[in-house]
Amino acid sequence: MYAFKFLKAHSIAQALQLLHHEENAKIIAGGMTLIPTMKQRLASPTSLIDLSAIPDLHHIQVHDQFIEIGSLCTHDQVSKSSLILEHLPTLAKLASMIADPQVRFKGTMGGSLANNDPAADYPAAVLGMGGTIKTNVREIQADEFFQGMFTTALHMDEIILSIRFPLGQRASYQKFRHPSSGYALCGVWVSSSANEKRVAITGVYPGVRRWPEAEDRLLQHKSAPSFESTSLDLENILATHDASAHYKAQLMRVLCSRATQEVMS
Amino acid sequence: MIATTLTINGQASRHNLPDETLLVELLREHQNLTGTHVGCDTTQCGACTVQVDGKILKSCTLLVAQIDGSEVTTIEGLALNGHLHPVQEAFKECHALQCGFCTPGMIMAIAHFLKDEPTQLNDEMIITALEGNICRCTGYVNIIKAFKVAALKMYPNLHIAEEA
Amino acid sequence: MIGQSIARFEDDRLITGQGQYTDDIKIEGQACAYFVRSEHAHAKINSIHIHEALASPGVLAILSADDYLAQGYQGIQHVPNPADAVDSSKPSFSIQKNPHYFVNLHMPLAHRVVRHVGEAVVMVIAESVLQAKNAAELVVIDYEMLNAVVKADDALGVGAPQLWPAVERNLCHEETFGDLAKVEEGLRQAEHVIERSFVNSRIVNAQMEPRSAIGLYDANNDCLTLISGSQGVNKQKQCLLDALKLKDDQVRVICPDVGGGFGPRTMLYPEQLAIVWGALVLKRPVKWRGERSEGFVSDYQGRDQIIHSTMGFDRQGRIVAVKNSWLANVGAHTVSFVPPSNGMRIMTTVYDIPVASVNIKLVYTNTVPTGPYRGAGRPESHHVMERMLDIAAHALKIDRIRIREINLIQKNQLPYRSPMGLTYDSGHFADNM
Repeated sequence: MYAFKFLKAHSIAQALQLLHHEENAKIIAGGMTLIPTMKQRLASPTSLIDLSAIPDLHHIQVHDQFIEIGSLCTHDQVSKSSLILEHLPTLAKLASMIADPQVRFKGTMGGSLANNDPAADYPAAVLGMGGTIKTNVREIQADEFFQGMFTTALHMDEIILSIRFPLGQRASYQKFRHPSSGYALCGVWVSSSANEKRVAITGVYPGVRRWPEAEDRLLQHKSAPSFESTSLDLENILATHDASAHYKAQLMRVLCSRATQEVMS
Repeated sequence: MIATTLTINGQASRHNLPDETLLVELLREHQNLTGTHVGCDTTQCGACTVQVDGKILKSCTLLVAQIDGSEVTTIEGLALNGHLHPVQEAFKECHALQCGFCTPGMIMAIAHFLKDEPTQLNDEMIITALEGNICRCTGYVNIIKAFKVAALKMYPNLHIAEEA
Repeated sequence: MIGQSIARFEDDRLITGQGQYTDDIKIEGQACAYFVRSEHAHAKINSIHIHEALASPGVLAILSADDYLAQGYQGIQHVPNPADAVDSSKPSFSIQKNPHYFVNLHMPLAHRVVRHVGEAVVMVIAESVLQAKNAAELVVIDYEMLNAVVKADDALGVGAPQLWPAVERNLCHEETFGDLAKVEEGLRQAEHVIERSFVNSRIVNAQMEPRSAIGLYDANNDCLTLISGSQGVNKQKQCLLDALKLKDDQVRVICPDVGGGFGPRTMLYPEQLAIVWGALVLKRPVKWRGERSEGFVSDYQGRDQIIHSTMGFDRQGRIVAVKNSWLANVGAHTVSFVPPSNGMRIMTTVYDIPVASVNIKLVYTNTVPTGPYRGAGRPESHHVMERMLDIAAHALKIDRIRIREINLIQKNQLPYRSPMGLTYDSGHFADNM
């Protein structure tokens, strides 16, 4: 890594002040993506602003209509939280499938969402649930938050404080893990409430996105439909050397089918 | 430069190191604790696994600055009063190591998993627990055996499912 | 003692973190080396600019091939041609049979041309790894791109880029083993002939311990020491003596704990030679710790063989003859011919086959050099044999177990001399199926 200054913030206000004041500064949450990137010298911030000491970023609370998760909650915390296991178990299951035990002890939901890797899992959950990202400035709806590969609606002086997931929906997440990296070759989140069906796809396109044709199909059917003939955007699929566009499209169909079956059972 | 205090294997130590110092660098270069290994550049292999404040973390992806005030246990600190940890014994008995390079990370990961008595144990849980540790010599079979042998040493009444 | 299970001696150290792998060893006063590597598969080196890098903090030396040659040294002679398995007084591949047989000296740092992505070009030595790495980024190499070829069959083709001037079609050796005339007669007489090509893909060793090396120079005794994990010190020492033109008591090689060998760590590496030379130049210990991503483009790799097999069967499904052609991808430097040599000797594996022949071509490409890897040629031959039997079983409508039963070497045939000259003294092949 190149040399840098490590600055520990003790409040959001202090973090913002440091962000503003330090040239070429970057926020570090768990560091499970940032540090490997810096080790490869693919990123070279001259200051890191550590959020881990800021209180109120580690809570998990159930409210009337939503569950709120602090942005610095680790994947391990999310996967084992009794509140999440009770109110949104699919999210706990998703968290338990991220990376490996060691990385789950440090990686955070806020870090994952701010990074918005096209193959990350949490973006599918947030978009699939129609969640809300709460920052120090405003609340951003899921549909507005994710804007493409490694791009979000966050402004330079915005820090994610918490994430809210609406309650009262049935949900399922089906993930086909890359055997080596553990990332989603394809991840499909399906959630269903009385008047809305949401299908979010990760790992397939340059950024997490919804699958409107599949959502329409879900709205039309009372029992779990098949998605074999549902149209999808083949052209923009991010093919890799080990997964062609057709392969990923097939994964989308199959996983959506499985997720739907789980939701409707 | 950043001043930090850590407790490593029960001993308090003060450090004044460049901000970018990784925990694995502190251990290997400054504490002469070379049992923790660097095996990759991508936080995948787990050879650098240590225990920090009751969790297992990959020390190659952790800045010392991030864990100021923490308690760190490395492979060198696992055996107590000259007695091998049950996981270490099991590795020896089950021939769960060949070159030994992945071994400290494997042992730390297993010892962490077994620090609280599990309600049950099966191959799937073992494989999930070791997802962050790679071995190129053994083919994992004896490591899985050692996991179970260690678990029974520590919790004789533990129910371990038959191999699938 | 015999028949008893004995615990390993080294486990007590290794399970308590007391292993001594090369990077665990610290020598007082050690400087740190970092290699600047080629990003190109094939290119001429027009010039190397180091003045900015030399001014970088902590830098002690920046060395290249010209410096090495100017001191009178030469590249590594790997002696890739192994001793023959049947008659160890001869080499496996006969040089007399082929006047075009060519092996190259493997320079520790690329000289004038880079021939694979990852080939080390410049060695930067500084007080710390970080300083060496930072300085390495300031080294500017002016490359002139050349066409590259990575597959062995392409490398033989007309117009393929040529890696070494003396080596037409990149073919450094070709030889036919066994009795080709009898094989072709047998195939002519055969009731059925099955033909298939097999690609045995290239493998990266990925041993858990990244390669490392420490070089020491004892000026009082004029003795160089290499401390580096390997699969044996003798080959390493012989190659060092030869490259540096030294006498037996001027080089010592120490192999401490090794984090995985599997074949590719048998041969000497350019980095090991460069590090020892660096210690000689600096008159200080020099240490290099390889990174994993470096290993992917510099650790010798395995397999990458294309084998075409033609097998003749009689009406009952007994094999009457087998003719293979084996195309070995040597890589950018002739490091080891062990895999095709082994593959040739055991090509009939455990089956009773009267005649066999194989034509082997050893071909240069712009890839990391290959060498023995976990089986070293034998898995390739076994794979071909077993696949051919399954394919034949399907074509001849014989059960795949049955076709093996009728072809396996029987116990009463032992000791059995294979058509490739090996004598099998034991084996219950049918029982083991």
